[in-house]
Amino acid sequence: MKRGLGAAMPQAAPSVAAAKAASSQTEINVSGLSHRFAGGLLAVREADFSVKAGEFVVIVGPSGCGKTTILNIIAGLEAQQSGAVSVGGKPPQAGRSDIAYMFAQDALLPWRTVMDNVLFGVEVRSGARGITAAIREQAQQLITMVGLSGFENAYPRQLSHGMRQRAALARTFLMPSPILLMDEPFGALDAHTKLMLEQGLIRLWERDKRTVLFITHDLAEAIALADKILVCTARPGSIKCEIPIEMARPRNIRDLQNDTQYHEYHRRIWRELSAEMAV
Amino acid sequence: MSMADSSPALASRRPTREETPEVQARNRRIGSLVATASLWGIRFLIFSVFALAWWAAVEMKLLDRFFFSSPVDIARFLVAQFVSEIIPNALETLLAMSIAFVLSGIAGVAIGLLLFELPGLKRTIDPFLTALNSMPRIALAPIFILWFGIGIASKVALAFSLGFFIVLLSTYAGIRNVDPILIRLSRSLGCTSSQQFMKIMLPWAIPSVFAGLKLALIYSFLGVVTSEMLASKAGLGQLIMYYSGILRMDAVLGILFVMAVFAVLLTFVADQVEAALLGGWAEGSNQAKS
Repeated sequence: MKRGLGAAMPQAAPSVAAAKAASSQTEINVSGLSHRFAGGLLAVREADFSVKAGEFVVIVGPSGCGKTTILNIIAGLEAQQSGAVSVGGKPPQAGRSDIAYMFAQDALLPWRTVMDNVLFGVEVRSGARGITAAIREQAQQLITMVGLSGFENAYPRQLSHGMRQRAALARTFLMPSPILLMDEPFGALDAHTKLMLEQGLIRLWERDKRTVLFITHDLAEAIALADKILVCTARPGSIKCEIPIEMARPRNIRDLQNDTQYHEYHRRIWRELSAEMAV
Repeated sequence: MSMADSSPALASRRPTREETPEVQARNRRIGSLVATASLWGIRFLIFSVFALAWWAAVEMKLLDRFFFSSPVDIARFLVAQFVSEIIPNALETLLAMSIAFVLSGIAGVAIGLLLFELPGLKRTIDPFLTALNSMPRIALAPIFILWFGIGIASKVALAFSLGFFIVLLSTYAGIRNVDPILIRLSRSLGCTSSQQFMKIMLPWAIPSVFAGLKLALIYSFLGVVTSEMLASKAGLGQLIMYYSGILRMDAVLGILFVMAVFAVLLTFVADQVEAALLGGWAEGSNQAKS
């Protein structure tokens, strides 16, 4: 049964609404960013790009091109060595409450149930008293939305890989942070679960219009999700080109295959990307 | 609108994975009850066959009764002496063991955590820890007896010297082993250092601490009995030495049997406590992985 889009959706948190009002402002700005690993290997060279508030930007690139390093620097998890990076007008710093970071691994706490894991981010940031009945209600709705209802009290080890990643997605979205960093969150999932979660992510994004910087090496995923795709060069990584994806929203993943525009984008980005890959 | 709505096939396609935990748990309970019953049946059978073969070998003079006694003689001894000798001495052993175990547990966990918090201290005293831990602790028994006399204190000291290091090392190893992705999560969420410790490091270390505690329990028993065998006024170890001195094999083997049963019971209780405290989340618990 199909219901209206907004019917079962939790209300957007206030700070997200505030970010939406400030739309078209630059939220993340990266210029002249280079990064060298401890061993001397140059991972990122002179990367330049920006993400506007409420924009969904996807970085694609060959593996090892420093995509994750860029994200880690923006999140403040890795020290910035050169260039200029600003996030929401401030320099990056680990643990900022306006940023929520979702990793490629689920990073669930094995001793917490699904529900308690979903609540964990909010609990850390606003204390145990921050877990109000309203937050619990929101958590429950997110759990239902990612298809985990009935598993609220299950422990991570009782779940399949895809189910754990869905719980991590719910944990990320329960935090009211206006900026989301997502590092190949669906990279290790089977094709079916992946499509399901992509569609779920599209819905959540269309509801909140948060600023998203998303990393993937899956072109189809990138086109389905993005407002703008940044193609990364091979290592040392820099932004080779920016391709705006001007397909209508709301998008439906299953209909994209019939969209000639989609295939046009796919061909074009594939050409850019394959030039960077030694096969 | 839930994401499951857009793909209704998912739930029915993988029924074993998508069964709710309540259903999984009920099926597991019924299954494990049957399995447990048959397992104990087989164990009892093995024990009976062994005892019967032993008894027959002694009766047929294949084994010398003087050296090997016989299951029947042992049972007779145990029944006759259970209340008058076994119980009071076992209580002495149990008391010393419990004191040593509790002290090992508290000191081992506390110092294990302290060494993690103070890596400089850990680095400095590392060679001393290694030296103390790899020294045969049984060799300390004569010293402890000299220092603390032949009462309960020397037994506790020896047992503690065994249990303490086990708990310390397993606590330290457990807390050091935290999955790096959880530390990344903690940093990205902005956990304070006390949040990181209480909500991530400490829970992560708990299964490893438990493994150490279980081992320390058995080693405390071992330490106490060893100390009793060297010099003591009471205890199962002392009883064994007395009976082996007067060449009563039925008594020696009978007491050994009591000790073995006691050790198995200890482990069983420890497993139950662990499972109850950890719930269903840890690999170390008795729950079968689905």
